[in-house]
Amino acid sequence: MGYGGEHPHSFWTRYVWSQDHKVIAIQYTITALAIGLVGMVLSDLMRLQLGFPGRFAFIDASRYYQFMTMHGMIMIVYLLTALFLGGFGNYLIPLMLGARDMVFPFLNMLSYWFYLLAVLILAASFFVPGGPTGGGWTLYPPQAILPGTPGTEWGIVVMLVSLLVFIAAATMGGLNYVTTVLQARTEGMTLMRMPLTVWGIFTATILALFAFPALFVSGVMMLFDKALGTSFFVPAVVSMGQHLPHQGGSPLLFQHLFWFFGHPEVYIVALPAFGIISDLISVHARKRIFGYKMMVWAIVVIGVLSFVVWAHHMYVSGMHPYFGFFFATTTLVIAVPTALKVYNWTLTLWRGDIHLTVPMLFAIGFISTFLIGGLTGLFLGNVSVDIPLSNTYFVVAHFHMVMGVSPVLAVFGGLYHWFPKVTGRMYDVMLGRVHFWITFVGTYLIFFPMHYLGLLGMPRRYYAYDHYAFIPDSAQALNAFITIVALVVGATQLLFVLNLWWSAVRGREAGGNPWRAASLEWHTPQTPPVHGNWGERAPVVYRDAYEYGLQGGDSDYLPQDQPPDQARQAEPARGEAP
Amino acid sequence: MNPSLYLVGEHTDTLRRRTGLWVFMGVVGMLFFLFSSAYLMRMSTPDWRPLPFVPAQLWLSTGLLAAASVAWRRAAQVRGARAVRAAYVVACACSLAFLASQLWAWRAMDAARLTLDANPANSFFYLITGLHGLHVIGGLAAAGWAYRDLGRNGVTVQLCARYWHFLLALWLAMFGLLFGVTPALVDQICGGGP
Repeated sequence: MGYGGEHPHSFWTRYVWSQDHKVIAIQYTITALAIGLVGMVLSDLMRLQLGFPGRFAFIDASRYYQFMTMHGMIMIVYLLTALFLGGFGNYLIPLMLGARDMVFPFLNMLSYWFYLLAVLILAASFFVPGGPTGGGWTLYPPQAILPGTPGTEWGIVVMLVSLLVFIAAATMGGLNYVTTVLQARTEGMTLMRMPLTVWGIFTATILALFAFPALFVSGVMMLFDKALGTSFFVPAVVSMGQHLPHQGGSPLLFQHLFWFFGHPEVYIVALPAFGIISDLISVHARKRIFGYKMMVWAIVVIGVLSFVVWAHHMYVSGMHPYFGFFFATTTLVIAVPTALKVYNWTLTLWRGDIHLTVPMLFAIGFISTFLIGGLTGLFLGNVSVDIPLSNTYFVVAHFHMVMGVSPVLAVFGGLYHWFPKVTGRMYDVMLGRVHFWITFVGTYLIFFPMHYLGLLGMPRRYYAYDHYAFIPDSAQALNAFITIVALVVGATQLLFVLNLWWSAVRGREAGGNPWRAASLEWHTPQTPPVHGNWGERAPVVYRDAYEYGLQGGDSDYLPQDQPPDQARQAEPARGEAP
Repeated sequence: MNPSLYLVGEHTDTLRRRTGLWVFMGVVGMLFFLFSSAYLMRMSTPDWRPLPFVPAQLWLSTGLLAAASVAWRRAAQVRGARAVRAAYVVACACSLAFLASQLWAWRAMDAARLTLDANPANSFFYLITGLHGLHVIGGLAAAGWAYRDLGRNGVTVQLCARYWHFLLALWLAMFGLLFGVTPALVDQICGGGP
């Protein structure tokens, strides 16, 4: 028994129907980035309407809502979740743990193909009669399935089917990641020696495995309501003068189910980002991560708490006051382990030998945006502060900072950091720096002003703001400014695509370990690693992944797999320098 | 490179598959737990009418699934290819009969005008039994795939046995939920709520 006796020989088995975790990771990453670009274009289209209302005639109200819905769903589920778990998880878990592959490679391959199918089904909804659903990414019934909302003919059905397929894909992948972490670590790799990236992805995967069923349940029940006339969620409704056959359904039930998925989902994309940032900061500051054990426990505690905060998304839906009190408390408590992580990152940087490489720039940028977004979360976590701010641009600013911009910065940092391992070549540093500065400053210019728009009372989810006397004219000027910056930042992402594309083919040879990093994935016998990863002998691990900044000897770090009695060998530190 | 170096030992392989199955059962358990929560929450709305009677076929189904579970247990324990194969065939046959009996129960419900959209309790009945049935079908697909391992490798059969015990426990829980839990009982336990 066991896997992979055979090395794949033909083009098809090697790159298309591949069961190699590294190829699957690249497939996941490219697919997620491609659909993510679509999501980004949709956001720019929305911004065109908001910045210059009515100037672009093809963006009517229905299209606006369709763009908004698809943008949200694509970015959260099909880009970030898939990229962190399917992309980074697939590539890094086996390599960082010294495994030869995922434990169930066939299932892993199926996971990718289901994901691709889900993406294609989702994209198909642009071409069905009536277009994609415009119900908002939360898809609240009854509006998401009743006439009046765009896309109730086909769009909502296609969206739900796509989500169900995605959940199947995520479950197949998740089974692999969890089992690999639990059962396929190499000799000496105890759980408390795993790099924090693996801890983040592992915990996020457990969250995904237990949270996605809630989306599955709500999706199936909504499909039944839509297609088979049941009344799980839809109450008695008079729609367009007609009594609908539904009665007694509970929209609030959907909200509970949805947010029981939706809140852990925030941490499904945040925890892998936390892990990646921890590793990036430690490597590029040449310093042991501050408080490794604290970091691990913070990840686990955040994961557990994330299941008991969901109703803070529903303060204005109406609930028992004690209920609100409970959820406000748990929401504020989750700030403790999260703040702890931010302190630890800062303390890792403190007096470190900081190299401002492109991945490091993104990592430091992440700390900044995550801090801002996290602090506004404390505002919104309080019921009494949330009620006036709910449904305004303050909320939009908050969640884009904390779970839009921050994870995306972590994605960029991670992609630049591991790019030399994946391709064997170095990216173009100049382009990378330009990409970072425009993205980082640009996202601040986009989202920071939105806090003020929210405080002015500007409601979110609106197509146009005519006849709102309380919104001053200057808000429109700010909106136009935000739109222009958003277009620039959007266009800049093409630099990133271009950089990776060109560097993968023409980039300078990077060598096996350009960052002088200690974790296992940088010590494969070949770069890029080949099928089976480790050649004749799997590595043996003697320590954790953070032995940096050592004094004396030729090099300042100890690889995880170097026997203790062996002298430290100098390795040329190539880094970004040509 | 010598591919044989990659081969995973049988013991390690067993551990991996066992862990994978546990995780999977955790996910499925979560799924049905959430359906149950939705069921209980939906029950508190005023239009709720409990299912009026237990279709007799469901008792038959319960017996058949229990028999399948026992047969798998036996297949995992006995020695000798013939005995294993016999237990395997009985287990699969009982599982197929279980599915048929569930369909028969659907027909009986339908004949009593308890259709899918007539009332939320019915909707949940079809939804939950249907989804449970799908998990049995999934198990049968895995069992079909395990056929070539029969007698050679006991692990697959053991895992099938474990999964079928889980399916049985899940079915008993859902059976109890659908017919044993009434709004009055929920009121009694939760004190009627705010």
